[in-house]
Amino acid sequence: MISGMLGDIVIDMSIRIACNNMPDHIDEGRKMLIDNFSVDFVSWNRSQIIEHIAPYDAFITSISLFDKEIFDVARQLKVVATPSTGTDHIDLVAAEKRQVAVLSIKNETEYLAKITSTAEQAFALLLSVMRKLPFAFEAVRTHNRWVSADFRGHSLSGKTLGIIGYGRLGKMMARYGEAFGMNIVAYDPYVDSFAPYVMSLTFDELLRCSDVISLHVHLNDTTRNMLNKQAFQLMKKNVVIINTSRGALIDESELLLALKEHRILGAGLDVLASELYGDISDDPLVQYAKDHDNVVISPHIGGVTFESQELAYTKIVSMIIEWFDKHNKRE
Amino acid sequence: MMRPKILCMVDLSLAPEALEIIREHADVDYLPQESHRLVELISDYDAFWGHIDLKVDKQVLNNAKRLKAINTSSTGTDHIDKDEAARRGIQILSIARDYRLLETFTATAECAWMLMLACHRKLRSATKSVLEGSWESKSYVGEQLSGRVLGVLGVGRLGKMTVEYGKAFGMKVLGCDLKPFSIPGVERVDFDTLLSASDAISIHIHMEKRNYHLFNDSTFAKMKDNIILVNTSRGDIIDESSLIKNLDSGKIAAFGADVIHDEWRNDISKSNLIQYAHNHENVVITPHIGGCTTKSIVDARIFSAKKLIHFLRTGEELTQ
Repeated sequence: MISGMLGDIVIDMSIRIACNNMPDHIDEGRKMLIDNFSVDFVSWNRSQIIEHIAPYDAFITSISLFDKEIFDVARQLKVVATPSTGTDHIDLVAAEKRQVAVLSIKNETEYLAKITSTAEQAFALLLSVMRKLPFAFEAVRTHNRWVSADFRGHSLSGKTLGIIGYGRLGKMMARYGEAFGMNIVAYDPYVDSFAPYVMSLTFDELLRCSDVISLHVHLNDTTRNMLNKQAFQLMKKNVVIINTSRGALIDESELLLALKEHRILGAGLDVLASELYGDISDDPLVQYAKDHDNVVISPHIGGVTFESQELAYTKIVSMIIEWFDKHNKRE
Repeated sequence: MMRPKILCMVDLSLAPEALEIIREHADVDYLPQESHRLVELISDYDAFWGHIDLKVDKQVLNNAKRLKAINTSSTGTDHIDKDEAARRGIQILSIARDYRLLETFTATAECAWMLMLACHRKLRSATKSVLEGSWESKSYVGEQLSGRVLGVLGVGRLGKMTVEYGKAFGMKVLGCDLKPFSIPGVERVDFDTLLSASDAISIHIHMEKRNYHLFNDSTFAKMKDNIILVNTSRGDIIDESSLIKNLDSGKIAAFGADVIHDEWRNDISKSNLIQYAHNHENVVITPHIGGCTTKSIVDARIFSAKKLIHFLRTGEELTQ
């Protein structure tokens, strides 16, 4: 048996790990995996995962569906790990039934404080929607047109930013909004203390008074579809919706309807419900965004920065090492 | 006293009140913006009110036989040939010193920050690829702002807003200005230090002769590698041929601009920078939309209308 060394911990190199879609620049995380496990760096879609996963002890996912059907064929699997705070892409019920541990960085507070990328992306989308950035650039680049009046936008200062979910990212968003001279309101039933410049409101109150609504909550059974038909009816006319959390938090058909009926000013989305299934090209929101300048969609790059990916992968790999260390000793 | 004649080529559809104000006190010809008509018509008027993307050059001023004032609802006046106007005793009315009004105008600083974020996150290529049907994110690995060093050149009205944005985003903030300033959490540095210590630079200075091509081969050489540069002031502050060279070599990671050299020309596709943008992903350019938000436009135009009328009636400049 081949063994690797991590300090004085001896780890079984026969543990097989598949790491799906790891970004190229994660040097430290990659080295830690190679030093401690028998690792394959792969780029599999769902059907390839089903085809190949059987011999692996652990699997590191990207944000793609890891459902019951995969668990059913993953006979050796002991750990599924995700370098994200969200775990909604993983079927947690199936994981428990099969006694597979699910590791995420959800509770790694110290690491997460350094990961600001998703809040920064939310603000980037907000400004881009307000000022029609993608269309303004295309006008200059491909239409030979330099007419500022075509892209008259809206300033943020003086507007009310409604933050749903006053956790790590919601708090960052509040701080950004405050610096931009916005009034900040927040809804979070699990939080008691808010910054002095943040007014805590009920969900309905927030919907009624916000000029911008930004979502910063995990997806679960209570938050799924939280922006539904009823919620859209409470919103101010000309609200802007920003979603960098999960697509399924919003009833997307209602969002599309509200856009088409000009009830809302626009939307900035880094997530779509359909993204979990691989192909977004037919997504009605993507289709809509092709010829409307008030919707800006990015391909789930909220956490995609060199700094945040390096931190997240390094952390999740060390958690996997610890997990196997603990469980091998026990055996 | 005869009613003055005003030629107005600025779009007042958003601010009908401004049009009412000038019509009450003057005979106004309110026409669409066309530079060749401006040259033809200007001789009949006492005052001209135009937008910054319409040049008031020597050719126009040569025909301006009775012109007393040129009005603009902007802080910048470099679309007007100031020397020629001064020679002819024509007053230029802008909102450059209307500080109380300007305090409420955050639009340009917000635009700078949008470009700053867009450059850090490869936003325009990422959003474009979604519209083409792809959800691939690997090609759009960006940089976090938090932890980086932001250099703000020009700590005036807009620079002061920008340093606050930088602080809120967890950046270390350096400010460079000829005038002394003291802002908590902002270190005052000289220009060379700003160049050599910043990961990202945002330009908020006026276009004056001494600032022409302030960013050139030798200034770019003093910068860190992979710097991000944002310009929402005036295009001519940067030597664009040197900029393009440094973008191409990767010295500058990305450039965001709301202003370019010669943006008044009719055919902007001849701009070297826009030609560069055709086949490179590391530039984002918007068509001088910095101050272009509904609220700032309406407020600026109403005040400009009052200012113009006040000048025509009293010969004095109204300030706020």
